[in-house]
Amino acid sequence: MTGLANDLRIARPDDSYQSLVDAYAGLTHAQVADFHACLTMLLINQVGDAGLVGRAIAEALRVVRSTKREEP
Amino acid sequence: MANVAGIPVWREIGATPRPAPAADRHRVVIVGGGPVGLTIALDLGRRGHKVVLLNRLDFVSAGSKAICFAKRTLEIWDRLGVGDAMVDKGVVWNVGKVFWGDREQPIYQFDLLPLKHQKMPAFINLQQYHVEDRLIQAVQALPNVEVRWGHEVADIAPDEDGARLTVHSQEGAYDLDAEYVIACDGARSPVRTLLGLDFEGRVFEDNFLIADIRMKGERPSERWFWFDPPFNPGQSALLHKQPDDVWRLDFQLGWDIDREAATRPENVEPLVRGMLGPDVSFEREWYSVYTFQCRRMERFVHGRVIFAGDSAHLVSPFGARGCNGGVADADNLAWKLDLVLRGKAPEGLLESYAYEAAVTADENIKNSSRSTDFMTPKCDASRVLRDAVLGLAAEHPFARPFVNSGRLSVAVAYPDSPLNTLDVDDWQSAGVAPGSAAVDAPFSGGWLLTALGHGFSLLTCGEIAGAVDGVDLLDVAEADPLLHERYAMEPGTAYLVRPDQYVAARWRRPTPALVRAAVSRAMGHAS
Repeated sequence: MTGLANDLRIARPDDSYQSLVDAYAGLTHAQVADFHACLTMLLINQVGDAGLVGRAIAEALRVVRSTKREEP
Repeated sequence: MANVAGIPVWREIGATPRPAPAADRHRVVIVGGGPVGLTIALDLGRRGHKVVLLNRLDFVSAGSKAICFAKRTLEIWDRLGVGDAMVDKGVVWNVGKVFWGDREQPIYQFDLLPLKHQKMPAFINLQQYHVEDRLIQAVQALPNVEVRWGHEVADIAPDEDGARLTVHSQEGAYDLDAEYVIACDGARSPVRTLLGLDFEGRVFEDNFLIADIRMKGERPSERWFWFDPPFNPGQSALLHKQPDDVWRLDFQLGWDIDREAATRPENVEPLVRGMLGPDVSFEREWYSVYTFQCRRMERFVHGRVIFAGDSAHLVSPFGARGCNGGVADADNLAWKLDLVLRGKAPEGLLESYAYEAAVTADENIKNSSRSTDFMTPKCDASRVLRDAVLGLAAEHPFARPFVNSGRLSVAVAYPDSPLNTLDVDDWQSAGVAPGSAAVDAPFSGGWLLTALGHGFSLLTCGEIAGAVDGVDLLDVAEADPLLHERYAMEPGTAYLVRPDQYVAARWRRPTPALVRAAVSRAMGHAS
């Protein structure tokens, strides 16, 4: 197991998803990268648990690496 | 040695005559008279050993080189009687400011709170020549330590009983036999090269222009750090105060540079004026280029030849982990070699130096590499992350501790050292664990670390039944509550502290047999 919550923990998931999509509107590709970095730092501080953050990093990396992706 | 080109002189000492050829055989020969070699010479000398120290130069070189000395180093020097002299001359800064890009105001500033209720400050800034001067004075007061100035090791032939050194002096070459050779001869260690040994590990190189300037005026004693400033785009820069109106300016230069051109005044001065303003009035003290790697030797002990300091490991300058790490080596090695030379401990005790000094080096390499990676991100994605942290830091205090412009050297713990006796009680993460440096606290009108002896000490909280030979007892039952808190003392508790003031063992219910076994283990006797 990943040691991460796998059940949904946030109300109205569509709203949060849409908030992210809306945030991207008008941002350049480079700004999206900046935005994600900034958001990541804010969120890992909110999580406040180095063990959890580490497991989330490992899981995200595993998912990204196991997903076939055509480079543009 | 006036024929050494390009090294500026701080204080002339003069070449030591070549010794009489007979009986030039010694138990300990230290190669290199920098802060590390001098600290080992002082420690072994104070323990009564005859020591010969060979120094290639016959002067103290100018240029401030290492400038920041951390609390642990000051505590080591205090144990050796020179701590106060360093602190009296050094300067301390409390305010740090962090700048980023072309913003004129700092993105944030911080105020270092002084360490409370410990004798030594968290660090001092002090030119290396002032440090060496004070160590040299202390060493020269010892009749059993002989410093040979202007004597350079030209060859070394190790064998199982030690090594034969061929030494060049102004009056010609001579041979000298040593039971133990301690190579403290710097990053380009001739001893290491002569033995065909090298560093391993990560090779990461960068160049920094070090401009020490003299500048009078009312400038506050603050540390200023720039990420990507307009006067040094894409790189970092640092401003630091030293004693005597000397300021250290560091400019990161990147790897692919002309090192000779970089130190020419016409190339340095625009950087200085870019940092301090076009009208700043200053004098050049010392300009040089510092190239570093983050690497270490695989092993620091090669038979009877032992490496300490920069000869054994290299770090980036951030966090002041070079010289402080080297002094930690000296502190770790001296008491062990003392016990081995006196026949009290097996030679295998020196293996624990190889282990513990490597743990220290790895910790220093890890931290200084991380600082460098933050300053010079190795890929676009990590630059994006770094810039996000800097961008957040202005308004979000949580982001400031992520900003890495160097993590100051602190005593490294050896939780897995073979010299430790594992806890048998549940300490609930309180107190000072085996393998950690003893923490200072007020004690009996003075300080705990000053009250500890030069051998093994047993800190007790109340009397303990039965004595242990060769262990100094220090009853702290009546001590300041702060000491009790720092050590999680309860009536009956005892801590065994090594000669280098590291905790070797601790018990809630000590017995002489437990203490004896822990001392034996800490002296490298197989248990």
